[in-house]
Amino acid sequence: MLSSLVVFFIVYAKDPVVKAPEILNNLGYGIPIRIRIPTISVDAVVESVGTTTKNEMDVPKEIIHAAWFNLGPRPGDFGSAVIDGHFGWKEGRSAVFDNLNKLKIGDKIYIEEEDGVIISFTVRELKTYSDKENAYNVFNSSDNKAHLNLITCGGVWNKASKSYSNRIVVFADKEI
Amino acid sequence: MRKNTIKNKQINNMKNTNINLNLALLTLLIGFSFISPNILHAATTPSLGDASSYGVLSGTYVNTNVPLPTTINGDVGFTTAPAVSPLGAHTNYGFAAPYATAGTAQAAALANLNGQGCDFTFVAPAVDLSATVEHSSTYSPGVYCNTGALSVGTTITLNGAGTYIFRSGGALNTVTGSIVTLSPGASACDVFWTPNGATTLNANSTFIGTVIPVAQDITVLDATSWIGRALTFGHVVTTPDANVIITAPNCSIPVIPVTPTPPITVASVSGGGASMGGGGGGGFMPVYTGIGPTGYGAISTQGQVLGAMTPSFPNTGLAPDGGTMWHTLVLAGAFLLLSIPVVVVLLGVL
Repeated sequence: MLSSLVVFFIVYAKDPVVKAPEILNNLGYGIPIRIRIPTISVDAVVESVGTTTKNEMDVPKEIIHAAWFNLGPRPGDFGSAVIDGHFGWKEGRSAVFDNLNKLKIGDKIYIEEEDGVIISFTVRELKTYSDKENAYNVFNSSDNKAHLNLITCGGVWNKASKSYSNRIVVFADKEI
Repeated sequence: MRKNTIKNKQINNMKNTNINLNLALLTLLIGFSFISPNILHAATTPSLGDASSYGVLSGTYVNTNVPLPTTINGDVGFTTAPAVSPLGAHTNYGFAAPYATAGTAQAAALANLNGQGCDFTFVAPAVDLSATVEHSSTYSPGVYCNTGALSVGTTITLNGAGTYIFRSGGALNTVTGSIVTLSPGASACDVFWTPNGATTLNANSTFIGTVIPVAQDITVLDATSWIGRALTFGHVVTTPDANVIITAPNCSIPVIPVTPTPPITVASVSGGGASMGGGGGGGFMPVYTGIGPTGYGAISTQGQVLGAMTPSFPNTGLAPDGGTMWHTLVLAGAFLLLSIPVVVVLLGVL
């Protein structure tokens, strides 16, 4: 019994702290393939998604992956690039953005894009929206700067709608 | 003697009273000029004709794309080509039509702009628009004139719908990191700068509006973002450094509401990791499907870059029941682990 529990903890324990990757260059803005957030131990593959039939941003297939909204800018391009990720537990595994709400202003987010270039962003603000609130300001910006906004769920689970009541959004800006 | 003394006192009192009244009147006039709102005449936006589609209209265009590329979202006109073509969407590139008529249109627009009367004339020879006493860095529509140079030191805000014309008798400069921003109602389509001197937008400037110098060059330095146009037909436009983006506003489309319309029903476009509209390959231009000519999305007459579509929030929540069983097991295991030494101790005691 004890050995089973030990195995359980080894298999399902959270990832060890991820070191910040070495910044290679910030040239080019290809399709994002990986996201790293050292302060909350996120090191995840980034899928590419569009919208659902309900015109919601779609979500990653794997709970340990994040997903980039491919109808918007790529991270690093001017505008607001958006990446979402699951919140909650499933089959003993925690989802990629379970600790997104623990980010603090000034924390770093690193996006690796398809050419191996790493783009760094700095957290500027965390905000909570209700699930039905207008998401315009999350997906759009008009200041000719590059932003990266991360979305996950929060609040209370609603069994009828099979959704959490809130959306947690992290607003981050590209480091120059 | 005494009468004269009294009379002199009376005369002095009257003089003092007159002086006080004059001073009071002067104070009122000065105060009124500061506190009263500027009564501005209505400046008007001239037609740019064939020049309206150009992000850069020059005689010589100097661009090296080193170390990072420059992007011009709009036509690029020149007779002497740059060493390296800038990135961006250009319907017209070079000196083919409508290059020549664009030059004519530019000249007509400049004459129109410089023919409009000044609503406010600065006094100082060189003026930093972000640090004027009269405007506190916020400007209403109108014609602002200075016999000397104009600069943007930090941030200025153009507040409200209408036409803004900034006319300088000398150079136009922006300081590194400076910002020109619009308040709701203002539009990049209606902002004009007409220096009679060279224009230099220094690094990391955020700039708005169409610059039409009288007969001088325009230089745009590293990482400047500019929604507007560099129109200096017959002269030199230089983007010598890195990562400059100039986006000519599309001023012919109807106003797009800032708040999105109700959700659009679309077919599912995701799945299998395939991306829709993500474009292929690397490069620096964002590629979207079904979006306006600049490649950045539709641009409203406010000069804002809007997304082609705005979805609702995603449903990223996992049902908490999915983890309940495992949570229970974890808690049970932890309890068992902690209770073993207690049991051992108790057994030992017994």
